[in-house]
Amino acid sequence: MFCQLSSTFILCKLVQYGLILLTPRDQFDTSTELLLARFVSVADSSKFWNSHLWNKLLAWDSVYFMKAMASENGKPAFEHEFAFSQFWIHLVRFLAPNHEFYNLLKTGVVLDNILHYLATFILYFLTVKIFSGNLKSSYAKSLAKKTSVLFIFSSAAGFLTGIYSEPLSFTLSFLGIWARQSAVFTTLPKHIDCLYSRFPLYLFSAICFSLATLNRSNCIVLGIYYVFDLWQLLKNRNYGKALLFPLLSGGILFLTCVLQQYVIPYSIFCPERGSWCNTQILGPFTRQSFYGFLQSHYWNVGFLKYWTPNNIPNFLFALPNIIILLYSSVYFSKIYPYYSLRPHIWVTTSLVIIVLLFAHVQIINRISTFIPLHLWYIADRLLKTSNSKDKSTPRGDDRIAHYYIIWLIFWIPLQTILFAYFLPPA
Amino acid sequence: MNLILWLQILFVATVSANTESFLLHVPSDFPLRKNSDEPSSYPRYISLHNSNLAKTTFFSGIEGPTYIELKSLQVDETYQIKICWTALDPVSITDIDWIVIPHSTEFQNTKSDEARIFIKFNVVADSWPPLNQLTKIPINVSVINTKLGIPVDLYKIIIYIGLVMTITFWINGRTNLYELLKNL
Repeated sequence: MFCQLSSTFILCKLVQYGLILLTPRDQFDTSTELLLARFVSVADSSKFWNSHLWNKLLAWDSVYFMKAMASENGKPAFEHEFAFSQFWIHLVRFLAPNHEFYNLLKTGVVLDNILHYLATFILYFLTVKIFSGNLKSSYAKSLAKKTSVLFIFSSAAGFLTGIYSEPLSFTLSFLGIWARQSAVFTTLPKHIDCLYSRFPLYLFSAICFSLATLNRSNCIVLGIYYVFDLWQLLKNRNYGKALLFPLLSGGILFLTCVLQQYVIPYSIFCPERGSWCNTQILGPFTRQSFYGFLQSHYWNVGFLKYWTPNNIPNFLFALPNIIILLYSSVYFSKIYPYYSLRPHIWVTTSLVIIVLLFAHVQIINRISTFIPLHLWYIADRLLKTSNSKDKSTPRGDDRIAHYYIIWLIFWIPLQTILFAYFLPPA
Repeated sequence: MNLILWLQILFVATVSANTESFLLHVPSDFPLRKNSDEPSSYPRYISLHNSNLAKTTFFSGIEGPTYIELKSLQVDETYQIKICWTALDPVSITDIDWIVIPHSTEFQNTKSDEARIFIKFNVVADSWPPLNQLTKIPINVSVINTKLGIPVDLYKIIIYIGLVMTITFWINGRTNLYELLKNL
């Protein structure tokens, strides 16, 4: 397993970086050269490996990350730059040998790859843990292997070759889900219970989810695991455990969000800033969260704001993941109901609804990487049809998994090139 | 051909963020001089003399509109005008347009005996803390000739993508990656 997953990972990355290396150097969006002119000399940016590889990884949001990483104190210069993970920026600065531009870039890229590699194995063990509950272990192991391979060939594609903060979030997310899963067990008929001896693990999941949310706000949906656990334990009148496990852990996650979204921004910007500071309700609490304000003010994000005819191509880019995420929820709740997966279904459905209604919808290809449900669905279908002698086109629901994989086969190299050439989708 | 159409849709509909672009068609009866390699009297200009694409960095203020003269364009040709700025600067580009200044007409203290084509845009700052009003923002302006409706600088990436997609199709046909994954 270790060798197979490692070699698949290395092969996938080699192909991706090979494609980037061969991508023409004069990008569609020519702003990278303006960025480079601000930080490095022409002689430095024109060196072979810089111009053929590293410079091409500076597309889209990488600019914001690099700006803060390469600044004197690592802090954002403007309000809207707080939308980009301070946690990730400081982690890269901490691990980089020095704060020279290309050293920071290389550290970020290496760290992203290490995190992607680690997450592949965490996902393997998480899958084994979840699916070995009431099934044969060999099934769980086989499913885990397929899931991990599918995770390597992620739809985030080119974004995972650069310095985006997603790998940190999905690593922490998988680790947190694994820790929670280790502390919770299912009791018949449809109840859950928590082991006191595993309390540190449950608490550890809260730390992981909180850090993942600090890094990327969309990970707040991971709090649904605690809502589910709380509801189940209260239903069983297990008040003591409800208080100690999900309420405490959920409280930690909630407090982290309050600090990040209200208390800290308010102390930095208010009352001088005006604008969102003036919508104060009580203390540091404003009507709109800080991140919500930044997204709506600077990126025009809001309820149905993206539903315009010119965004139809972006909806098409997102369509395969929207279908697979929603269908995996239907699959594990109606076709192959599995009680342990219920909170995962809630998390997945919530993310899709939020992205569909509020966000720039094509980002689902990138940000859904912290959710494993759709990978489990595809892996399960692959496994259940692997013994079939009929190699003709899959039938029925299997076509969804089949077409998604075909899409991935073409999407990964295509998006990697588009990213390296600074072309949409972002 | 489908790929080209797809890319065209992509550019028309979705390119945003730090790039704004539009197409400019020079009519066949536009009074352009055959050889207009003379330096412009207007200080900010881009010349396409002996070339089908040109790119220049201009430093624009955030107080008023920026005008750039386009020189050595050909009649009956279409050009893509591409304006790029870096996300390092908290600005956006608005009111992008192009104007024709008739011959012998004064424009911003300059005059020419031939008709002139200018592009115009505004650099608008939106940030907290506010950007210093005297800040000059570097903006890359590119003028690219289009052939068959596609800017000429995109031909190599279209060919590259086409090549990679063909190879991917061939590999998938030979190895059936779906079956490979199924039997992993």
